[in-house]
Amino acid sequence: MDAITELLAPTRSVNDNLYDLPVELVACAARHQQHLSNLITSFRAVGLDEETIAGHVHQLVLSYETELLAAVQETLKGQSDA
Amino acid sequence: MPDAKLFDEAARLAALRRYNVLDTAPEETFDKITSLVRTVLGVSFAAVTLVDQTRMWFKSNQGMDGVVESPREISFCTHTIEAREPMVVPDARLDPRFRDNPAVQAGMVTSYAGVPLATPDGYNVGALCVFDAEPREFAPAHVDLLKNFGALVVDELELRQIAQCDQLTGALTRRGFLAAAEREIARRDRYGRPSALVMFDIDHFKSVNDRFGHPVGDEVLKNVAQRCRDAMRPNDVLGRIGGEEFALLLPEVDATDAMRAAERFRRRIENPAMDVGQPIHVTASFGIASLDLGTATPEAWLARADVPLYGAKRGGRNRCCQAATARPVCQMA
Repeated sequence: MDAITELLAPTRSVNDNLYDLPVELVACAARHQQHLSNLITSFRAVGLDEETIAGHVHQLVLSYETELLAAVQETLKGQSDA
Repeated sequence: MPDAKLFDEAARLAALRRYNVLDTAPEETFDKITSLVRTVLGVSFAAVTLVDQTRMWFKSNQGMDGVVESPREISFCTHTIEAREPMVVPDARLDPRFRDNPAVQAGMVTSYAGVPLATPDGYNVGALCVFDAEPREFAPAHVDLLKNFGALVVDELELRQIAQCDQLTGALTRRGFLAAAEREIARRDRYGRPSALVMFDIDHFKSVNDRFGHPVGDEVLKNVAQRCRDAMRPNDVLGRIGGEEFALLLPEVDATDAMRAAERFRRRIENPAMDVGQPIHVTASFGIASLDLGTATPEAWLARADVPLYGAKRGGRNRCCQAATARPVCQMA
């Protein structure tokens, strides 16, 4: 596993734990992971070096993970409100 | 075959409204994306725009401090959302569509590249775009990069929408609804526009659950939400506030029209009987509160609608009551 693929791993492990969440949320997280992979391909195509790519992807992964966990909490809260 | 979704403006606006994102505060996630786009593509400006009915609203922008929206008719992004593919304008001064545009004339925008932000069901709600004061060719690899960043923007919008959506009925959750009501209060403060909040509660819902079981109760809830959506205008917002309690936000509606609208929703729920495996006669009681100057928070607005709702329940149910300064005014079924 290269450094960039490894960066995607935390998102993957979050996905693995979402089996009891709404299917839309799991599907959304899976789509995001695919889109990140496409972005990495694009970064390479425009000539960015691996270290820079890893830095950019790291930022995006962290940001999405924070939002995903907030969405999980919101969804659970929404279910208990209803 | 023509792509009908590209030209179904009403459905496109409905898709945009479902994201419940217009007029929300800036968010770090979107700013991070536009910041990266600007850095990697080496441009002066990058933005996430949502194309509303008459305006282009910026969810995030890099390079134009303080700009939150611009008229739709002069926006480049309104052209971007009319296609599935990215729009690239190397030199707007030479493009008959844009050479008379005020931003081009002012020398602020000369080159532009934008990718449509397409929802998973195919509606272009806005664009991720970059532009510059200098003419510029965008290499295909750069346009591809922009497309892939655009997909991340939609992922973020989807994530927020799912979090704010009640999974059973498709209405906003209580939190999502309160956030929408808060933006409506801000709009009142900014522009002095009227709006109303209609809160309603399904009559005798507990007995539906007790008599027919919870799966039938769930079908009733879904059916009620769908009937409301069928009667809503594109800008109206539906939320599920509690178990069998819903609320509607009606922008640009005064007290008289709010009462009329609530009556329309009440009748829509009452007739015809719901076919949820078996016909069930469902009714609801309504409380209406126009947004007055004394209402400063969404919670206070809901509480104001709750008073006439209680009056409608106490008065015999299946009716609409309106908050008034002296006492609730009721209209019986």
